Amino acid sequence: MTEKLSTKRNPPKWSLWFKGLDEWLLIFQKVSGALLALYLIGHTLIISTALNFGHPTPLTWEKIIGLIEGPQIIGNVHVGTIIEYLVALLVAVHGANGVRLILMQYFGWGLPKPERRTYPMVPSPKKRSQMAYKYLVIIVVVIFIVLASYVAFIG
Amino acid sequence: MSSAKADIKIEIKRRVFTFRVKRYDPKTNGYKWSEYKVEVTNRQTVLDALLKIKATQDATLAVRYSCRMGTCGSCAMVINGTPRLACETKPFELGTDVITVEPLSNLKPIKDLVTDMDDFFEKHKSVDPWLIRKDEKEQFEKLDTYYPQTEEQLLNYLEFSYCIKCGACYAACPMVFLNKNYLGPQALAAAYRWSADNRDEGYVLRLKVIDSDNGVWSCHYSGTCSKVCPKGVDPALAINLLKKSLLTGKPPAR
Repeated sequence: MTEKLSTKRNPPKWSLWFKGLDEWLLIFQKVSGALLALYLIGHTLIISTALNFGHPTPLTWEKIIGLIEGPQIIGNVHVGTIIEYLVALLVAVHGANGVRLILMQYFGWGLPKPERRTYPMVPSPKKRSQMAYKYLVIIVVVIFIVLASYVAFIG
Repeated sequence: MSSAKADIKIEIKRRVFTFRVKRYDPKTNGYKWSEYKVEVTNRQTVLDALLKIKATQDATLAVRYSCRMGTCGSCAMVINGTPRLACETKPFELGTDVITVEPLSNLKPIKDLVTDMDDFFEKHKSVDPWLIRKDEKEQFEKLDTYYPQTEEQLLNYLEFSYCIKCGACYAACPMVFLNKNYLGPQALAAAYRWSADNRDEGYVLRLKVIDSDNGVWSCHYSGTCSKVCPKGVDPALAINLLKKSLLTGKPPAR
């Protein structure tokens, strides 16, 4: 063949992934995981610095933490409040969905048994037990958001 | 009998649809969109329309097909944003006047809607998708009786044996897009299909491919594969069952 063939694969259809609950849970899981990993690195560095790398003094702690988390935004809301709030949300999303995946993939809870196909064919992610899992994740996250918002901004 | 036949009335509707076809040109190594207006009936498929375009409007349009009845898996393409079999998709049932047709994602293009399936088939082959016995010669030289199988044992893998290797799941998988070495849903479903067969003894041999970074652990369970499968194979279930087997150390139920 004299014609040059592409070495690149055909591009994906992004729209296909933005219309399903499973796909969104995957996106949230990956993004929250990456952000939490970044946070963990930043958190370790800042706390180490604030503790003066093994030689803590009240002065260094106050200075570093005050500099990063101290600035007031509005009322009793500080930069630190927003950071903690966002971290709590990420943990809630990552944790709730992670528990779903562990229960399903390790223990097999909610996984249907393979069966003879009958029409209309319902793929396993759309079966009742799996949908219940996903709605439960959403409910847990929403409750968490409400509670976290109350604690962070009102209580 | 004749009166019963007379009662059957088949209503044929006709409508002109606009087909927007994304075509890969190997000469320029780029894509272009072509637009065709075709009249189709409510009993015709997207493949029929494409063949009509090829016959009456543009003979250069390249389409791959074979059986025209959802058995061979040659005509999978992205229709209105979702990978489907062109021979099983009716324009009337899509609900749009403009129908977009694109080559399968995650596969290299050859021309227009035709994609190179080599990588896909290589991955399928890598999981040894055939009956493996500890005694290799047994089934060819000294088989005295057939391997018995009960209905219950059959149902353990039957669902996954309907795969026609069309590549729709592979094209829909976000993880194949992110990791081009990932085996993909089809190959892993095939691995489960054979490992869950009570006549097979090759599960341990397949483990080195399945239990790897490019095996089941690249799957992060978006479930898109199962949603687009035109044959209802449910590769996501197969992958989850494989993960369960690997994590608990118990081979698939057989």
